[in-house]
Amino acid sequence: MVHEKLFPTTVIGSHPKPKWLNRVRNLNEEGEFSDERLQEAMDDAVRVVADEHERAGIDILGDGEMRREEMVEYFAHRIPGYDFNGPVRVWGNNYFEKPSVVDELGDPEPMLVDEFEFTRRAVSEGHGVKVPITGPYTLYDWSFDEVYGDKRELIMRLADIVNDEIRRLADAGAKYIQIDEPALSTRPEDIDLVVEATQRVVDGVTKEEHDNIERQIMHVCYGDYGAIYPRMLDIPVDQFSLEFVNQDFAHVEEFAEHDFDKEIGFGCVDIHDREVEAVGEIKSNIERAFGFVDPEQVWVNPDCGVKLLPRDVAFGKLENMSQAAEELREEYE
Amino acid sequence: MTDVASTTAGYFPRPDYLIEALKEVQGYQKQDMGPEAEEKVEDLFHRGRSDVVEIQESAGIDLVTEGQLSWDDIIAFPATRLGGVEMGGIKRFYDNNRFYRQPQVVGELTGSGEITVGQYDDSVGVASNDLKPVMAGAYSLARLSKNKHYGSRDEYRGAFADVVNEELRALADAGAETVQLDEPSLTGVNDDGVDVDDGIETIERSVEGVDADVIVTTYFGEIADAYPRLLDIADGVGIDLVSGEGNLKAVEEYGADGALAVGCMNARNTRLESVDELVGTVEEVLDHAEPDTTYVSPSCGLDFLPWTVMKEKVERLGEAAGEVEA
Repeated sequence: MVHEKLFPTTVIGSHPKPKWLNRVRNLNEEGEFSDERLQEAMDDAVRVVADEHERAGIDILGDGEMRREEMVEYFAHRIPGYDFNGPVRVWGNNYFEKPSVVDELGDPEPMLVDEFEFTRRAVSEGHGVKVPITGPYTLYDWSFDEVYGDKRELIMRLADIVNDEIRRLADAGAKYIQIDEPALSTRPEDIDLVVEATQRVVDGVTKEEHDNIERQIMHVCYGDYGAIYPRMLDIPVDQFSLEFVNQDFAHVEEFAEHDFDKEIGFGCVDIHDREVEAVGEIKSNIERAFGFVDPEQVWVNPDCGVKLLPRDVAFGKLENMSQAAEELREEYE
Repeated sequence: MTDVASTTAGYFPRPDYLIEALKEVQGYQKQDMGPEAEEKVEDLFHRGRSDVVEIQESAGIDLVTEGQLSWDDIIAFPATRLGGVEMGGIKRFYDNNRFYRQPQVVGELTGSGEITVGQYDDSVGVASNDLKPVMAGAYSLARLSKNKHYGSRDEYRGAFADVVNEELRALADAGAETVQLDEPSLTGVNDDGVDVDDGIETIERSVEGVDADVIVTTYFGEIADAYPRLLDIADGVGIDLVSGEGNLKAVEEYGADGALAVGCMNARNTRLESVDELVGTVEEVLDHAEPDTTYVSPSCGLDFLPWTVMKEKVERLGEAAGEVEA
């Protein structure tokens, strides 16, 4: 198994899209290019990006989310009951189409199974595929609720929908699932609700329960993890994949105060900075993880998805990150 | 008798053409933002400000804002224009799906008094109604930035109070009669280190000697303990009645004088309130208090909404203000 070594390298999800893919999407929206042509372009882009990940030395990779515009939008377009009113700012001049829940949510058609099966065929032997899926708390928090009013009811409904999808993915052969919950620490008082919702999300698809599943991973960024630690360790996943560089490693010491009894996907390159970190710097970043976990618990990844970086910078960061992991592997094995 | 008027709380969504133009002149990362990129689209900022003022005036809003369209966020925008500040990481903005670049104070804070005046000058000419500039408050700036320079918290907050004071004076000199000073940090949302004494002291220092009516505006939560003390030190107070349940009780207990901005419309949800709902919220407040002026307001800036929903909400706000019986 590809993860059965020290410091497996992985990505969080998004990768810069090739310019031609954006162009094709625009032409499709303007009616110049058919949906089939767009589909073909997305397929090609997935092959290109999976290859880019492989060349950068990534062990457990993905399709760079070539088929997705944004992590909430993508799902809200497919789950019946959502509507869109236009872009809303996330930070700076970066916007996303923030959806509104305008009706009781219905059951979507399969959302990610085709995407997963295609990516699996696109990558070569010796690599794993990780499938990112947005978790219920973030789906709730990053949309407007015009209907439910009761937060718990809406979140648990979303948890059921996400669970259905992960079951389909697991049955299709997916091994590595990444539940994205960047909103996790938005309201520290909601942590119990997140624990409960995640229990629902992984029901029947934990690595103990499902033969195909190797890891349930939760990715969180921008969080004040300190506010929900150590309670967050009760969230039933095998690994937390977290940003560290953007926060200047703020939480390493807090994590050390309790037994961090999960794996850590250690964010070791900054995705908000166009400077490609040197291999030596990334190595010492990764070594900060040993302040609260053993080397065997560490996976290596960027802080977050790299889609906002220029494509060559994104590649440079992944390549140096893999090199750093490789050198550490030699030192620690 | 209270005068009933309508206002917005600043910080509007950017029109599409401005978003697109800014994408062209700046990248997507934190080092790409700043005055250099903004200067390149100054004419579009002017157009945007005019559009935002026009939307408010057609809806009958009495005290308009220019929408803070050039502000990427309410913390980094002003802070990057101060001496002694460097940019840190991207942080969550209270309990929102919204992030800001965290300023790091690494040296003596120095202001220029020129953070907001340019935007005021650019928009005051296109507004027929009174225009209210908006400035970030010193206490919130201090709470959301990181102190790496000052030896004591008092000195650090005091330094922010002084640069904000300079800014408010400059706005008054430029002709602004009413200024909104944002202090969301007083609500203590996602920040259990908030100290009301510190907050009041900082705000008091920042509004000292300012020859304009300063409305200290709070949002995202309740300010129960701070409310009576704000009444003493400010010309007006803005409260969020959507996310701050305790705020109504505070008004019941302490009343109001000067101006009271009643944040009755949810600026963080696309659900459209009926005019009756909005009027009901305001009248409930007025059952217990008689401020000199009651401003019917959104709960916070409208930038949390898509452009089209913002327009509908502004219209209802104007309509509601016309129906409040004081």
